[in-house]
Amino acid sequence: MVFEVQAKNVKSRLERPVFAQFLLATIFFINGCSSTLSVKDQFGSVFGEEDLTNLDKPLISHLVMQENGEVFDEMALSLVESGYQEDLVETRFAGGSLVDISSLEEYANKVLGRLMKSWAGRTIHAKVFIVSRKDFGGISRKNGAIVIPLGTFRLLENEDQLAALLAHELSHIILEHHQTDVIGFLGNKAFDIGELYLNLSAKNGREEAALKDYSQLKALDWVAHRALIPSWGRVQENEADLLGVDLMVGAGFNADAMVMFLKLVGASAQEKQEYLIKNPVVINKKADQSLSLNFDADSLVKDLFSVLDQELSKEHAEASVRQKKVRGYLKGFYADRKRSDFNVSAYHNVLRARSVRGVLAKYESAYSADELLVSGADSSVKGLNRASRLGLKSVSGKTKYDSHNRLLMYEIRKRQNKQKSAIKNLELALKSGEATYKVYSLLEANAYENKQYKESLKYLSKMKESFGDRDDLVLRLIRSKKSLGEPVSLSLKARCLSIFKSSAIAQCLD
Amino acid sequence: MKKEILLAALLFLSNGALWAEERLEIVAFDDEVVEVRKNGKVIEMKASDIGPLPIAILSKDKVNFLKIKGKDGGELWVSGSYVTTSNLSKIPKNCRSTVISKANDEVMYGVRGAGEKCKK
Repeated sequence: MVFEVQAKNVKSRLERPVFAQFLLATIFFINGCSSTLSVKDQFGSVFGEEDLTNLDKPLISHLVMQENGEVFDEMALSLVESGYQEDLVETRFAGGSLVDISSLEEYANKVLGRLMKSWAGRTIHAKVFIVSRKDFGGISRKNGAIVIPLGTFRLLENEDQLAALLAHELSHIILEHHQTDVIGFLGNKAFDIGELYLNLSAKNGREEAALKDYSQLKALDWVAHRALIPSWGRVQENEADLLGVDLMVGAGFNADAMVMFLKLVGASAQEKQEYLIKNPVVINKKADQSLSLNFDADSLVKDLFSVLDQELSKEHAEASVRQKKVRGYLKGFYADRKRSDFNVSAYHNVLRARSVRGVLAKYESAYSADELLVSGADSSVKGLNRASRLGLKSVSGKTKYDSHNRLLMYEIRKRQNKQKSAIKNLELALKSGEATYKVYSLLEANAYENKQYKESLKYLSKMKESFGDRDDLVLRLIRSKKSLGEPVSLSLKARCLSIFKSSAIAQCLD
Repeated sequence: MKKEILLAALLFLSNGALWAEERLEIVAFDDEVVEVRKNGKVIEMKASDIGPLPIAILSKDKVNFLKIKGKDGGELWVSGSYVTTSNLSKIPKNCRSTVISKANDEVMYGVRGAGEKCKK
């Protein structure tokens, strides 16, 4: 069942015309703002770019007041739904496959619904989707999809912490942060990262692989994933934290959970950083030379890991600063708040429900297999067999076609030198109709390596159909067409030349 | 049968040991002034007046206040929002990534580990 939540326009006391106009005029006079009522523009100029220490009342009051008198068209539900679908395509492109646990998703959406009721501004559309990644956190997409990795539910302890996460993500949507998405270094490298991952993971024999083992592929997967999700600066994160607190208080949650949530954010970043310490990336230069596409993997990996480390350091350090800001905000505006008990039972009851428990157990098996591989189990037959047994448990029933679990089985089978079986796993993931981009990508690369050029073109056509005409398809299209002896159109060559840097330009031409 | 009982006993004992090892402690104060609850009222207190770290956590209530033994030996409830507990704390290592070894055919990239000095 599709669960839809909407925050309706509610007349706030602050929206009383005379009172609101007086306050607006006062704020505009003090801060020298123009009268343009874009929330984002107003926000930046009213409160300054660096921090929110000058607030004279809760952030939500300012925002709702700024929206006073604006007319917002109700978006047709069909448009809202197609927006979510667009967001989900982006999610699949970034490696997230949807989890089929409707009751957990409905529960999360109910929590989101409560939060949305405490927003009295314009109508906001948002909906929670759960994906099978093991990571901790949440991502809000531009059309209102809030994507939560299943691994997050393993770390959250109660409903209030879930509300904190959702309130933070909802705030990014309310504050229209997608218009100021700071796609930095990693975003620019998205293509290279994708190709690098593909080349390093698609090789059949381990002796040939450019990366030494599974743990390093995993680190690279983080980099690739991070490059494809929205990224915001400190100011936006602070704004989302504080508005999140307002929404939580308004909805009757214990807003202290926001601090606890930020502690988990910091700990999670730190854990990843420690993982990088334990698993330094080793590039085998001989194998690097055999990569099918020509780019400097050595320097790219150096750049990528340096950036990932810096980002994780920053995330960890900033989590403490953000906690401090939230504590100060709670003290300043909500000192007398009611501190209701954290709702542990509702949260755990949902996770323990039979329909949820069964599916969670399958993902737990997948995560355990993943952990075994990370710990180096793939270096022994016994270890690989254990991982294989766990992996097999993760691909039955509702999770039979899940991309996350099938990709794991693909990696296991590859390490067992069972190439056919490895590919079969990818084909099964494709059957879901909702496979991630990586599944298509690996199948296409495999077809090309086996000189099945027509098959390769078929996959490329499917990728275009499912994910749009993306730049990274261009080089592949050209190389497969060339191998088939088919002419490459001038327009495709021109597009190729316009996209890629010097090292790849030779591949754009005949 | 005896073997099973012995195994169960060992398991029980080892779990006990694990529990002892994982006992929660306050390992840091996140602010100079922290919220504490005394006689049902939430008040502020200087972190330095609470006691030397680490401080064993005796129990936790439903609103995330942590019961500890105060400096004067009396019971004190500290807000979990203002402290870092041992389960969420590992010593931060914020050095930049670097080339940490170089051979002819391989280059290893990573970040420095715990205890290694960071260049300033």
